[in-house]
Amino acid sequence: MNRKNEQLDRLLLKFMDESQAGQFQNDLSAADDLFDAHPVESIDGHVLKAIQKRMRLALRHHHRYMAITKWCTAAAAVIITAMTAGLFVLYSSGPVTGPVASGSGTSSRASQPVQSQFWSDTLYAVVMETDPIEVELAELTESIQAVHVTPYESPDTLKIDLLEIEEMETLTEKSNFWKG
Amino acid sequence: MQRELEKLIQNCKKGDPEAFNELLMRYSDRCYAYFYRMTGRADLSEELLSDLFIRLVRKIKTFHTGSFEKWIFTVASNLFRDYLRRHYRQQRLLTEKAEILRQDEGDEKTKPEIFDKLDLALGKLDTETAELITLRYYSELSFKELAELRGEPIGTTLSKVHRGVKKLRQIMDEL
Repeated sequence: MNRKNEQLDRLLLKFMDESQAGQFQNDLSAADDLFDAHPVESIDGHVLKAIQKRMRLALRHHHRYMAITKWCTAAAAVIITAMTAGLFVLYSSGPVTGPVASGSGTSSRASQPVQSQFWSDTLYAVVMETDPIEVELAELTESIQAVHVTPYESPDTLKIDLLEIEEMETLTEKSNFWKG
Repeated sequence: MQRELEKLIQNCKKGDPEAFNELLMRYSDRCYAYFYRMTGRADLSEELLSDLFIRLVRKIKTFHTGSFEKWIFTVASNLFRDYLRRHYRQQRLLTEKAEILRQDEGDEKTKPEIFDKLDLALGKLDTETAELITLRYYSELSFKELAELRGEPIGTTLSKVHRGVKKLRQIMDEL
């Protein structure tokens, strides 16, 4: 076997003394001799052919896999770009309000690109759907506020009121007595 | 020679099947010998060699610069370690080897097919040292490259190889 010339002497002397380095080199060459004396049998031709066949299949499979990966990446890139562009157009064209979008906005939207119109319509649909909810929410808030306006009558207040009535009645009775 | 190899690798990267075939012809013997010395079994070595070249097909694009020998033997070494982890623990492998030797002691016909004295001696070293010595011989890597492959300081690699070859000689003498 051809060894790479790595100036082994110099390298070994960095880590050990001369005698140790000499011993190391002897052991190394003895090990190399052992390997030379015990060669591994060559691999069979039919095994190599089988490996070649497997490699060809793997190569074909790898090509297909790479092509699919590339295609998917490209498709994903196109979708992301389209979505980004759509969002950009949507937000750069100003806020869209419900009533405007339903009436006068239609004519202005007609001049916009198809993508922009799609996004505007989508947003309009969302706004229209949220409108009734907002109305309901406002009604609910009003009714809650109305409940809070009426004073709360606790059992104590009721008791006080009854006492007052009783007192009034007693006073009336007393005044009637003096009146005869 | 180096330029020829570079061109071959470039062609492999382009997916040329013929280039892969040539790569197989160039490295199959050394890689097979490395696997054979590590496992002691021809059938396993063939399987590992096949897996190595399939892995090369998938990973060749990750090789950019430097020694191709170092790269291919790093892949081979990783494959062998994966294999050890998955199927064989070192001890089991050695036990199996010893068992085969014991069974075939009287059967001279089958002996050379299974393994030789060197194989047995390597089996008595720890896997790491045996791998270092085997890698050094078959990959023809320098100590510096071996140390890089193992991810350890060059002094550590030298010391392991030194201890290993000493022990190997000793075991061979005893056999």
